[in-house]
Amino acid sequence: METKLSDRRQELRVGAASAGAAAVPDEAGGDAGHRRLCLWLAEQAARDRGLVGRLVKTHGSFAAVVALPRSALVGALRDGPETDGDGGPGSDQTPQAHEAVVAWSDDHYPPGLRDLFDPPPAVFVRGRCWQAMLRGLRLRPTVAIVGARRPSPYGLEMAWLLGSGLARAGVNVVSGMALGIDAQAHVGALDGLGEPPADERPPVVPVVLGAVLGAGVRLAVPRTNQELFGAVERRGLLLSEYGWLLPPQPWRFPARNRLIAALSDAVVIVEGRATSGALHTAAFALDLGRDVLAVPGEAGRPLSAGPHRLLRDGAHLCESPDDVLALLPERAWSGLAQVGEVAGAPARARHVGSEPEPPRAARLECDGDGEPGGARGGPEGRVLAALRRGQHTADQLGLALGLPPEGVAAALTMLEIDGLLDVQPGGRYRLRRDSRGSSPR
Amino acid sequence: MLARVQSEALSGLDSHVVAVEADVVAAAPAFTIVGLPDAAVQESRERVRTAIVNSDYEFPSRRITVNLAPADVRKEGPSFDLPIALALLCATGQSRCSLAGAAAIGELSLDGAIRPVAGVLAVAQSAHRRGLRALLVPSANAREAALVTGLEVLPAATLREAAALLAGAGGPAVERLDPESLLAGEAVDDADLHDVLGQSRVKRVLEVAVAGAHNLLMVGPPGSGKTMLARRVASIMPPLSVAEAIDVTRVYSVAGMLAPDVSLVVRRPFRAPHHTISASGLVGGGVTPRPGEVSLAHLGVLFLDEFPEFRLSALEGLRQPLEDGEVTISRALASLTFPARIMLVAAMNPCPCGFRGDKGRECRCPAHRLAQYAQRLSGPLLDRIDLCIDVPRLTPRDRRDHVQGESSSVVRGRVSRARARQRLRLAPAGVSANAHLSARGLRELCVLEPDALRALDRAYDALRLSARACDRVTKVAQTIADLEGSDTIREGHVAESLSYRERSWRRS
Repeated sequence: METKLSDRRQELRVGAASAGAAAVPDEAGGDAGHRRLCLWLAEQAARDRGLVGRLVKTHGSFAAVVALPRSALVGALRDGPETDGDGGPGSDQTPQAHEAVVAWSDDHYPPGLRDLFDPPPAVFVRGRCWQAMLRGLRLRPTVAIVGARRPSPYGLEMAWLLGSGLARAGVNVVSGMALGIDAQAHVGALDGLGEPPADERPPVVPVVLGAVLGAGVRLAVPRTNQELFGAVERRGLLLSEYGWLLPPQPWRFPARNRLIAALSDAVVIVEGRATSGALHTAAFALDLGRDVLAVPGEAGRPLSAGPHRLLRDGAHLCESPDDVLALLPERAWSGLAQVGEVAGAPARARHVGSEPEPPRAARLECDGDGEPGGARGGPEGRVLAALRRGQHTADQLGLALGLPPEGVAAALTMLEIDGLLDVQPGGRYRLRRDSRGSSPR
Repeated sequence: MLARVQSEALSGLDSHVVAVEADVVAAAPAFTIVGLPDAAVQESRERVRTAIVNSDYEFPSRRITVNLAPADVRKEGPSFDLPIALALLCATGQSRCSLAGAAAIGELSLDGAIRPVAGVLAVAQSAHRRGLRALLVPSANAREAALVTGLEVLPAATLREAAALLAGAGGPAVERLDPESLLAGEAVDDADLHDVLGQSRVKRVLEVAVAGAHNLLMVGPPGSGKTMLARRVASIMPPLSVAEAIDVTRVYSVAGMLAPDVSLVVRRPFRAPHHTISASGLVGGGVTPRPGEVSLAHLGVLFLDEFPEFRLSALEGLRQPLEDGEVTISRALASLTFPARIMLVAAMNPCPCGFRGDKGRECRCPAHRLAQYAQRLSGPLLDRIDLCIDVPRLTPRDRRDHVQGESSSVVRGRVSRARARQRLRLAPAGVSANAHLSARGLRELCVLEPDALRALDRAYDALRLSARACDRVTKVAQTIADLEGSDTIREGHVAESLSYRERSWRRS
């Protein structure tokens, strides 16, 4: 499967590149008609499910479709054409401040989307620095993090860890803004980027926090994530193929998943039931030749079924951001190298536009030196050692270590004060993920 | 002819004098009761008439007026049957009232027997304080009334006996209970702590909670043993003192909840009302206020299972009794105070479906339901709960591996010693348990070792405690030190105490 996949990716990349090369002279010719057609098509496709797919099937490629006059396409519409301008709330294509429509024929159209068999004719973007963000999408590697809407604490933890770690390492993080893992990945990425630099000037090639939506970009759906929408708008990019205000429809979310997959160099699935939508994203990613990673869960839990099925089918194992970084091909960083933003592997770990941080590996060593848990003695050390082997209730620790309940309680608190522990609902204690990684022994 | 017999009316846990006056004149036959009688008192006309006839007295066929003075206080309940009948007998010359400083209470049955009434102990105590010499009571209530030393108790089983006692004939001697020996009897406890498998951490927390009279919240999935553990809390509490037992008995007597053959409550109460209970059922109330569950649990345990499912009004009503140790109920006609020095043991599932954090099952609660569930418990209410603990469901392996725990009596011994230390130390602050310490008392009477102080400061920052949470942690740490017999609070005590603080489990 591995070889087949990478072969296929190579093939697709080449194909996409040549198609792009073929299309560019046309556009360079200043054909504003192509752009108009794309916008019109986008408007129709937002309502007419599968329209672009049908057209591409008939005409061979999307480039061929765009080359046709509009009249030749009207026949393919399911409900007849929407007339310009009065097509309801989603039809107004005039962007507001911090908004833009990016048509397939535009240069700054996200390149990954061109790999799709049925690319969105235009995407609607919203974000304070959308130009810079589109540049970031083009020049930096991008990773999607998707998963269950009702995750376990473990899933949330992993989503945050991956989101923050990848953003810190200078990788764009894309997700679908759904509740649960998606939202947590966005939150993680926001945390990983840290506070914006004081001068408020966006970096030349910013790390993008991308949210791909299944509804219009001005609709903050689901409403629970309202605050997050604001944050992503300030620090990243909201992107949708469904106009500004088009309401969500059940079919738009699976369709949205193919954009998430196409935008990314790799897709990480964190928790999901056997029927999870995240598996669709993974399937799209495979079709597009993107790498698929899955975070293993606890054996036997329903939420582990999705990632485990992927792992069984050959997906890469993902336990930390490093697993993702290791998988990103050198090519994914080539965009950055071109603009001279960073050079060399260690500098990857730098978040452009903020205080340079030591490379990740070095940082870990520093943490390890000062690790208070490393040289603990007494009950705390023994509790720590027991927790390294898994999560336990206080009673299990007491029984295993022969400590009285009051001794276990005191030891657990001291470890918790030092930030080494998490307590989970149900009274289970576990080592913090980051503390386990950084412990020298 | 006019006759007067003294009686007592219950009001909350006190009583006041009611003079029952009967006047019989030659006029068209009638029987009227005036003086704000309620329905039960009005009905007593029928009981009195029949009881008098069935006791082989003559019921006058003349005009009878009975007045219950003072006339502006509402009279309720059947306990005026006996004084009304006695006053009538005196007014018609069939008996005479030769006892000075005596009052009578009792309900009549149609055959002339005297039935027990509620609140006899409270009436006896209150009347005795006001200088009453003797109290004529239903014989079934005699032992209860006789708990008040110095009061002459005249038990009567029938109207005839009562009339004879009132006329000055000596009655049978009342068997006086010896509360000391009743309380000293080893409680045969069917609910012992060693029945519970595993859960040694929870057991430890129960011990700490009882030792310092701290309120406790247990969080755990269904079937983890929360109820079983809570039922055993009373078994590790120190035995009731005589004064405490009488206090508890008084509440039960007023509520009419003393079992027929029980005259003194010797065990600490354990009350576990269902979560559908109304606010007035929980904290007390009604048109003429009756004690609620918090008062029935006075000096014992109030166990509220499914804590967040209780009505918000009921939960908020808990705040005052938890703070003050008593409940004040104000109504248009009266404002009454009932005692409510309780230990609250609350239990809840970690989420509405109950499986959040469970290793074996997925929680199926949507995020907004989780948030709603957690929000039902207000901050001020949680501020009154010092200890909070997770009760995990035992895995099969845990069940197999458990070590046999201690029995309740062993734990009770340690608790009693810790309580004794507290009474000694807290005497200047006027409280008897650490949980009831004020912030000032905490500063003045609790000594933290330097390393304990350092641990607390670090926790304050690292765990983001509030100042109030810090106070709670210190109180619990003091209790842990008391259990250990230490004069000062050391680092280990603070660390253990921190482990039982309220958790962020409420955040989704």
